Amino acid sequence: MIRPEETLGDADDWEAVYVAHSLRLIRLATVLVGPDDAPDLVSEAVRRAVHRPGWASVRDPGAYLVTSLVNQTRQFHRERSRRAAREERTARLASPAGYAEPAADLDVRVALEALSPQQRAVVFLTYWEDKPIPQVAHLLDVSQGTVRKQLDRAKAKLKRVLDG
Amino acid sequence: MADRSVPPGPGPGSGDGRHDPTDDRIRALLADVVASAPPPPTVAEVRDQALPLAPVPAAPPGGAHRRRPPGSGRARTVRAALAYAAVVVLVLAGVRAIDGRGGERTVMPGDTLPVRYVPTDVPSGLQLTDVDLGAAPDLGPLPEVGVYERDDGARVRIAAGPPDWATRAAGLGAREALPVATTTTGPPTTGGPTTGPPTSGSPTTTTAAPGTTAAPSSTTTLLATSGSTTTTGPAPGVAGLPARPDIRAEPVRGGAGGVEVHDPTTTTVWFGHEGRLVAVDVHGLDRSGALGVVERLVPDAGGRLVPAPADGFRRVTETGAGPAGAEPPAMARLVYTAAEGRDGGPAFVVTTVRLREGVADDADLLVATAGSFGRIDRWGDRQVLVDDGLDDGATTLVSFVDPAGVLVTVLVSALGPTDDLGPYVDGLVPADERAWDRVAAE
Repeated sequence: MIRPEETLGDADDWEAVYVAHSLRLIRLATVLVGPDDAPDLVSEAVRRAVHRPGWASVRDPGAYLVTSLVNQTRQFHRERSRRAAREERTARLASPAGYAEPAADLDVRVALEALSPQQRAVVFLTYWEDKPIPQVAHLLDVSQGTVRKQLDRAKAKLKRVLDG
Repeated sequence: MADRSVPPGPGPGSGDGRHDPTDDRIRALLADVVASAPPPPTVAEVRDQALPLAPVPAAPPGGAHRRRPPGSGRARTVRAALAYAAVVVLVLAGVRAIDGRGGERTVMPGDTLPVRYVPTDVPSGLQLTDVDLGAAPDLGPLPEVGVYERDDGARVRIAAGPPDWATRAAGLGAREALPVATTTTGPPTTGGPTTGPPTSGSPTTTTAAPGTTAAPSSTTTLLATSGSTTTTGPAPGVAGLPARPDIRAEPVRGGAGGVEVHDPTTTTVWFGHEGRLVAVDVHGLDRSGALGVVERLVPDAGGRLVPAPADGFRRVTETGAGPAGAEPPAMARLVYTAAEGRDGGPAFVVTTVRLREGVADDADLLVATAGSFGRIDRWGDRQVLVDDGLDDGATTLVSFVDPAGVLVTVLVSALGPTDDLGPYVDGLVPADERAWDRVAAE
């Protein structure tokens, strides 16, 4: 979503903005989609963000990149699920007798998979970066109420998963 | 990078100040995940991420053809000039077409595959699939239609505009014009075909002047399901393919000022949200089929057809020119999906998303990346094959649109190991131009 903000000179220098926020972005992307896909997600999200017509007028480009990253995750997950479905379908058709369901991922990603992209982002910003609710809301371009709600839900889901 | 430090501090949910062990467990979980984070992409890696298809320019505020502001920089101007190629050439040896019969067949010699101009400089992974001439009435004459024939009999129509058409459309200066395959004999006439020396690097062309018989007889190899109707009656079949009810070629006629355009199978569905309008044009299906496709894809395809959040948009009107007061769309973006046909087999649905002029966030309107092009991968099993993914090296969907808004979508067969579409979407003439000879206008 475009943020109709006041013009900020350094928003034009997206490279500097990106470098300043790249570590946060790659860590958040890792939480969102895993380490293998995180670089691609970051690249795509940043590229889309800086090419949007409103980029030059964004007041907080770092937050804008975070929002773009979370938004891009949704598209990524849809693409990945369709790709996985296609590959599974192909595997089944190629060898229906020998097809085996892929083993469930039992590592920490199981816990995160229970969360939506927005919930993962809220969890990351809250627990890893220790951001207060208002700042998380700003970074994700949502209301504080949404952040609280998503945080509560995420915490409840994670607790259930972690408790087994 | 290894970073296993766990940020200290009380959990955010501990509203009463008491320590919640769950918070520590969540932090430990995050520590494990963050520790696995790879290095971030470099600036060069982010910058150089490219799309396999030609990028398309975003519609600048107020119009799709506004001139770039002064002081943009020479590099940017040159880059823009290079990108605004007046192009579109298609067809290769053996365009593979899916014909709904459970297999693939090749559209071979004798088939005519029209080609149209399309600006190719679009950012953010968007593919420009339309140019709203209404927003730029000073574009002048529309391109003429040139007919090329290859020695194996395959034919291609190339829309060749006046020398400065591309630059005018792009808002660039005339001196930054790119060479186009066109005639140099002056303005088009209402008579028969005209011939003239080509520009440097382009083959000899015979062009049909606007309004002549050549333009109205153009055909499109747009595969559509049966049931589509036209205002002119049954459409002719695709040349070279056996006549069958579920395969048809939609006649493409020239538009005002030159190439008339008509796609009688297009159903326009308008969505509105907070003052923003998006029109989804579905080609290739009749109205009920088109609405079904849109209804299914809108909430599901990751914002493919409507801006995110998808649930914020509601259908405003089903077909036609849109809601009262709607401004003409400034730009369209192509979405291609392959949907299950009514007979259970796959059917092509080609859609475009027209953006209301001035819509801020094109990226919210999804798609437009090559990765969003769906493709048939196993349509014989009759599954809904709405899929993402780039071409697999064997089949690629390439879409073009002419200045008047005709959408042409053609399957392009494998080009070989390199599978490089660049020459076809960026070039001004057929990639294998030396194979194309002048033919008489139709």
